Amino acid sequence: MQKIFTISFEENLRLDPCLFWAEPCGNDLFYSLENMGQLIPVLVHYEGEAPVLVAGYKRYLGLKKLSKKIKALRVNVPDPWDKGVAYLISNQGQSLDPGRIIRALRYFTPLNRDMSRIYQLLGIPERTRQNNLFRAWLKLPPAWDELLTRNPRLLPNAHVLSLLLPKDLEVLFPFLDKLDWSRNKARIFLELLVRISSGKGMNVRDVPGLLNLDELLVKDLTPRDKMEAMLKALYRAAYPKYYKLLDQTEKDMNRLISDTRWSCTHPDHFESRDLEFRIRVSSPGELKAAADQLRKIADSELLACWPVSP
Amino acid sequence: MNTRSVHDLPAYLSPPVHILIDPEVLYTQVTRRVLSRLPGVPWSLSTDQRFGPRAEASANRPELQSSFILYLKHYKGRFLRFCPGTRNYHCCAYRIMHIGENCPLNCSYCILKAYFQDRIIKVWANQEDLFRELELKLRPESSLFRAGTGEFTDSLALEPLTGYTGDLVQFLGNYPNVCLELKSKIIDLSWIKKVSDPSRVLPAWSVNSPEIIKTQEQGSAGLEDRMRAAAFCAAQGFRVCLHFDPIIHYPGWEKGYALAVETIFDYLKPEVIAYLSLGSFRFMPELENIIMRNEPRAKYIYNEFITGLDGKKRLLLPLRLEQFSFIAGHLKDKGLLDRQMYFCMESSYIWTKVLGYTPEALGGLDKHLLRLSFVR
Repeated sequence: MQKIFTISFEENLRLDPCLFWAEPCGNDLFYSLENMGQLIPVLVHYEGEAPVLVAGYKRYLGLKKLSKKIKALRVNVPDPWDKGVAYLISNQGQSLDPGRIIRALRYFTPLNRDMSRIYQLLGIPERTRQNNLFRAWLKLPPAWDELLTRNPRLLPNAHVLSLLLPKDLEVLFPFLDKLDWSRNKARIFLELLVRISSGKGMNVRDVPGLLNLDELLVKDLTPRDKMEAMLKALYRAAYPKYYKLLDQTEKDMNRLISDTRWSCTHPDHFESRDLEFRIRVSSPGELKAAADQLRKIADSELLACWPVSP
Repeated sequence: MNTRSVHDLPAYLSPPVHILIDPEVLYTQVTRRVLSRLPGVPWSLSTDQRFGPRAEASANRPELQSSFILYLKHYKGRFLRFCPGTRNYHCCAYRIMHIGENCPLNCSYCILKAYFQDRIIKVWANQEDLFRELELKLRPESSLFRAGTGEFTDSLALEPLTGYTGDLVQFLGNYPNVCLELKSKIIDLSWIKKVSDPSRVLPAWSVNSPEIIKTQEQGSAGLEDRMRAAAFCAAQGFRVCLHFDPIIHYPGWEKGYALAVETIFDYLKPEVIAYLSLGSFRFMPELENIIMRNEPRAKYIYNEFITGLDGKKRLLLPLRLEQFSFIAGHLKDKGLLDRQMYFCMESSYIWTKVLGYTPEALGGLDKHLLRLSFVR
């Protein structure tokens, strides 16, 4: 049985790279260490005479700050893989957000061992959608992990991102870095970029410049307005014929309902010739006025040429 | 396990990596035939825990994309079904004879990829149940049936292994009220010798521009080969069906589809064509991402597809209209009659714009095609 021993707070332990979730000691833990003392030892591996910390980084930082002795358990894990597993197991129970998971995967993946146990420990079993998404994210440059930590909603886009060239990723990075995309809008943003580039036979990295999205990014607009404007520009570029048709149709519909309180829309993407007329009324008088307006619309000469004619 | 080697398979059909068999169909004619034609291919019972689940799981592995697992299944569902049409578009109302699922060909646009997201090709090996159901449902003789097997699989792609179509046409020889359409992209005419009345079988080929066939229909026969086979069938007394489906909108499509029409009539006279359908590429929304992710060759997927009234994605109407008008015009120039053509799942608007009438003028598309199937 291994014995717990103590290390002086003055001793500077070397930190092993396996501390992939190393973070500052939070207030709650610091308060606990101060008032209840250290309840769980840190794990230390010895390389020759030098102690190396392999788990318990936050406790180590907190105890040093409190100038308290550090209780440690000596473990013999010379292999980086085993060190990582020891660290992972000693941190079981931590909340596992995508940022943490990807940091763990970045540590283990280059070690070229059977990852199934790691995936299991991280709660993303193999052959699951989540697992596939993390595997795809690993193909991105490590600099992207910080983005994932800040906006986990980007994870579902891992497949699309992983298929892009490094230069494309470089151009897209500020758009995903500076704007807080929702999961769905990020998906649409990327899909439209890919759609336009593939349709026009150009690189993804050239699309933002073509549509002046880079100018929109630095324009004096709210982030929400920036994202809306970008998506609008992308939609129009991806579906030019559709929007040309829609613009003309809306123009004709607006002429038809001008000077009335009715709204008019075409709901079927030109798969039908249908129009929908809507109005909200709150009194018999308003209803009568609406009926008169509708009669005027129905009698309009503008209907000689039906607004929806694909 | 039989240790002889596999031989004599056509180029498009590589042997499966494994055969799974439901115990109930181990001794059926189809199973015996498949095992005898695939000597050396490992097989196991689907109930065998050592092989069944593992084999199924491995079928999703990307490295097996060029191969497949053949599952000889004891099918318990309905064999004779209605085509799943929708009310917003005109459906041909063909009856499906369900003989299996999935296909060994690798067409980039294949709708089956969205339906069946694995590389397991299933064959309903309990043919006697199929025949029993048909005996019950294909009566009385006064009711006419236009049916086909090409909805969930290619009608003929597995014929060298299963001999299924040969058995089916032989069985249906006793049912003069049934006209069977065999829809395919390959050439297999082995079933012809079992047909007793050529007027009750309609060999059918999917046709497309040579460029689309070459780049998007991996494993399939070329257009000239298909038409040569169709001409052979016509010489044997069959009439044939052709399906321009899916029509793909790509740069240079006019040239490609004009060439396709030319090629068809290099081999066939208009009167041997029972009917010809035109169908624009349409798909369940889930298929879009599957194609974008897995098919770099499929640039057409980035075109202007909108969500149709049936919830499926389809090309923006003016683009479809342009293609339909172009192809229909070329077909008419070659002597095909308007009434030999129909649109697969299109609106009255398209019908009117291209042909000048709607299916109502024909007494309904289903009845019209039934008449064309049985006419001599």
